[in-house]
Amino acid sequence: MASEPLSFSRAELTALLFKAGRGAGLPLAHAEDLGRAVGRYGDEAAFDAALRSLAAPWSAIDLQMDGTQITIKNARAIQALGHVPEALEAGAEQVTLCSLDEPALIACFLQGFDVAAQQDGAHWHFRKGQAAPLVTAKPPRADQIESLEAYAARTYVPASATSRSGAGQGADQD
Amino acid sequence: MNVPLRKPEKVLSLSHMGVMQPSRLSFLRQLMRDLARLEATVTRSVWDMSAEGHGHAVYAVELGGYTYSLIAFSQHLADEDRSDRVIATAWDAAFVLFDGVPEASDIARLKQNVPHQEAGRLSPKELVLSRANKSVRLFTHVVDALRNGRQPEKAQIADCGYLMRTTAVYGNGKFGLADRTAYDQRPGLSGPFAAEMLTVWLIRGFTHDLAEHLGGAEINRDIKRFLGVGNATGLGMAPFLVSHPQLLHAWFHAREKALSAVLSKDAVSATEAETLLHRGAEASAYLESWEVADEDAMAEIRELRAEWSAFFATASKEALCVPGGLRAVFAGAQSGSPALEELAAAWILEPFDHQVALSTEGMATQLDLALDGAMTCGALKALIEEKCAWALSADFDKKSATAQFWYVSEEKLEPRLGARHEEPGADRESPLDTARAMQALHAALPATDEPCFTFLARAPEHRAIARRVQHLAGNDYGEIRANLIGEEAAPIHLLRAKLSFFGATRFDPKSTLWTRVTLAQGLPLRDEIGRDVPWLPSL
Repeated sequence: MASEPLSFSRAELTALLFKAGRGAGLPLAHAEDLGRAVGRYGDEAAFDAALRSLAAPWSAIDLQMDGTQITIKNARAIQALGHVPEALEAGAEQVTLCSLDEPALIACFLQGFDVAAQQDGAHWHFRKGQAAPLVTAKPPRADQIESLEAYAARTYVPASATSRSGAGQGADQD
Repeated sequence: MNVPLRKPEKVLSLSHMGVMQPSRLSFLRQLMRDLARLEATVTRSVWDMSAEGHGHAVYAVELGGYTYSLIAFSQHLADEDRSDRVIATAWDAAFVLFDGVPEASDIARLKQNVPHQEAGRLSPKELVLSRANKSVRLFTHVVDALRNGRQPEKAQIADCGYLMRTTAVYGNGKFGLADRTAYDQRPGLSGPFAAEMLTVWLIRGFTHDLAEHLGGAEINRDIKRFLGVGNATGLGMAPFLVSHPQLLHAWFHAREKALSAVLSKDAVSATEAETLLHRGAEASAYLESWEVADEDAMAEIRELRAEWSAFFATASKEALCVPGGLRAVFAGAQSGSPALEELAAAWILEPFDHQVALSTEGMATQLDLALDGAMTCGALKALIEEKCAWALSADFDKKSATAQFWYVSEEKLEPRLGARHEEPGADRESPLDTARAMQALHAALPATDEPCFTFLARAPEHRAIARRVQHLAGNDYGEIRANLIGEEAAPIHLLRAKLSFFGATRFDPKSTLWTRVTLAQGLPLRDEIGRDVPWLPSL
């Protein structure tokens, strides 16, 4: 059952998404992109999309380049969307993401970039242009935060006597 | 004459970072200048404290058209519960910097959360969270002296230098606090860590008030001014410098730009020379009074005292005022140890507010790293060879080159450092292995004209480090020139560098993992805003 929205800072959400991405096994840059995009700009729907994405298996992107046209097949949003602005900046006229799995993440990932998106069934075309305004609805729910924290926890190392000694900051009284 | 900036290979080496000193660019001193420029005022609006010194206080700051309130909670803490470790759960005092003037309901809410620190929850109305423990020996001495109608012994004041020490100062959204972006355009809070520095400076005033409350008398101003805030800093602070290459560049570039501008001056005026001599004498007194328990650290301080004494003897008014005199004097420091050079580099900036002010703009940059996807793989490979020689020269086939790994502890969610070949957990290490990652990217990159974004799409494991390497192209000071997972990499060097930028003095290393320092020592009291701020204070 969905729980109540919580008040988290965007810095907290950014850090949490980044750690969750790493915990889910994403390459570092994709985890960074996820944090910046969904952590800073995401609403409840974007967090749901991010969680579904983290649960799915992933592999390297299948990117095809034909002149100035770029196509990414079976595009997973949390991997492919980060490439869109840089491909357009690099000279591509159009980037097409085929069978994009989570369109709800488009607006978050493209915030701050001059990239316009156009839907064509399950495919999405991206060109330089004016981005659609970001519309954020509800903030993330407690159960979403808990799920992300579970992914993030996969990057933590359990405590041991050695790890405690590695914390620094002594306890001497003065 | 245009004097070139010192090379990043030098100033971002651990040997130089580990001996840095505070300077006119340090954030506490920037804050003091801003408070004076903006004619800030501080009033103690609430003092609800029991005879035992338990209760709460509120200090209101009028700054740049906004009101901020430091809310301090003081409580009983048994001696056995007093610990500077990050794993502590209770403290003598806890603090929050509140945005505005708190209502009674805010105080009630914060009273339930602030003393619990990480276990509590804050709101966007709060900017900074902190806590502090008494330095029991000095606190007791000061209170006893005041109760007996005396002033505290200066020798004891000089020996410790603070009544309380903070063990954490949290900002930028931690635990529900306001995001930095909510206030980073406001006058007085736009500088790096400005809200945190303001909080520390206000906490210092609270520690004075608490001792005077318990002692029933006032501490003399010269003593009170010297009482700063202690700080115990563990390695949790170190990864910040690695995970924020933009800020690392901004801070170091600002300092080097200021130094270059000053050294490029053809002549130093008599007034500027007199300021240099005054500040140099200040440094001599500071060095003589800087005592630490660690024998190796103390030996280094003694060596620096001798070096500084010999160096400063060459810096006569005549020597400074001849054309090119400042450059010649500084060249003398550069022929000494890194510690002497860094001390002299900070000293030279003292009289030159104009050059410092021009350099400090942009020190709080928050720009994201972006990939230039059009750069060819061959060009990216060449860039690594040009900019990352320290990374390419490391031999990662040797165990010593990967002896350590950084990780986040499950227990406190804090960064820690492990021995890779002896402890479990390296499979979960934090990405602070920048040198190794740069070398891996270099090995994987084809020397071709393929745009790098297509290569990085196929090899996404290299994309993050590719962004960092490209950032270095125009931001030379954005990477620490060291293999941070090698056996020789000690966090204490990173702590020293970052704390120097904060404005910390009296570094007192307790191991390679943590250090004590003093913050805000010598700064004006809250009713003295605008008073001259010493570079390196001594009593």
